[in-house]
Amino acid sequence: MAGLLADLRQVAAGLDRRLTFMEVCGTHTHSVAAAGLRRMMPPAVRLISGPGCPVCVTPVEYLDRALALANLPGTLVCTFGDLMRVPSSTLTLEQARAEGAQIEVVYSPRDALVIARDNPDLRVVFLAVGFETTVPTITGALAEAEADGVPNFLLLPGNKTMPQVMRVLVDDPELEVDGFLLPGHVSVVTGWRLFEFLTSDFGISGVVAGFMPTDVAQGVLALTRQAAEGRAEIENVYGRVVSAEGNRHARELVEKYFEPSDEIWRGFGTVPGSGLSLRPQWAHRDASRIAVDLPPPLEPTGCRCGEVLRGVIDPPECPLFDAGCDPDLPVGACMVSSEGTCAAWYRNERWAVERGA
Amino acid sequence: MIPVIRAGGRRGFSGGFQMCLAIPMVLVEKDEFEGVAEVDGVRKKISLMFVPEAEKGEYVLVHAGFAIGQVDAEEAAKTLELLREYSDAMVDL
Repeated sequence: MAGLLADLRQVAAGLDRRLTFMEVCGTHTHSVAAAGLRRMMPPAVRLISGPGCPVCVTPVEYLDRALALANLPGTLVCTFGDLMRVPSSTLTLEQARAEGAQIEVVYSPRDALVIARDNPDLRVVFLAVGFETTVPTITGALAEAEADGVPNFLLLPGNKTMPQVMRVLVDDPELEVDGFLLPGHVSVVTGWRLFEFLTSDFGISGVVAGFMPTDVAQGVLALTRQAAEGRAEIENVYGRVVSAEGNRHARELVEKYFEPSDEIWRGFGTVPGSGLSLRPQWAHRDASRIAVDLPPPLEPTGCRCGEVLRGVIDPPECPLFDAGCDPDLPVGACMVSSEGTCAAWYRNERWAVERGA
Repeated sequence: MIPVIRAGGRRGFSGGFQMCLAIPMVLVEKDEFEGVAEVDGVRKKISLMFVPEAEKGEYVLVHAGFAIGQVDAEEAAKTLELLREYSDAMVDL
């Protein structure tokens, strides 16, 4: 690590301006914060977090719909545990369950499929959230439901994909991103070639990095070196794990069931083409077609999670940070999720608050 | 209102779940597209539909009950080290 940082300082010393690099993966967020990498950066290199936490970018509208479904008779909502404490316009899923809503936490979408198979009279709705890493697992369960004839297994589509929201970030005048640290396990599925639009359309660099602090530092060094040398390329420093094309089996199955759609992200609003909807022939699996009453969407008062997700503020700039919002009693999604930027800062980087970030 | 804590929602190293991360596990049993993978003495049933080429004894990257890729032993060790540190941080919280 010391060698990497020394190299980074040396390369950064030759820069004629300050660079901002963004990571878009909850595990990178954690790794950067836990290792104190931000403090170790040379003055010319700034590291920020973007919309990399899947449950953080899940909008209240989605949670409102999930809650409404969980209150329908004969319906069970199954979800990854991460979503349980994320605020909706009214209750969290955890609070709603305590009040009698039918909600079950599962580790795998397949567990929800098993519940559906064992309970043919129950309508089982799996909350399909997560990025490209998670999408194949949901698609796999869906394919199994089709193959085995389990009609009562449905999805509430809410999956998101990175490229379109990264385009929004690049175009954001409030933000100047000079390069992206690209998510390692998203790339395992998609392949690093997915990110070539950054260089071809915007002249912005991207480096696929692993998750250890040394991997992240290596990624930052590669980005800084590109800037110093006036290059903008997609590089892969996670080469033993990530290939150019990704996992073909996974990509093909996802393609069979899903098509790109417009999707709401917390902090961004609707981002065209950034979501995945079920193709029309799988409409019978789509729980968003079930009629429910929804409250007007309402974000928690005072929470600036949206701006944190867009990378325009660091968490300490939110007036609620460590002053009414902490991991024990979180107000917003970015503090709820262990992968959230606010939670990562709270755990590891409160020094920045004391110093006056 | 008392939140109900169930086993499925508990966080822990092997039982926990990070949505951006796949966990390296050794494939210890394989029957066509179904497998059993192990890490730190914990075994999980996984689907091999996305990595049909994986062999017993190799590391697979496991995410939400599916193997989504493969890694070598050295890379697996690095990721596991991070996960242990990560789960410790969760316990401290």
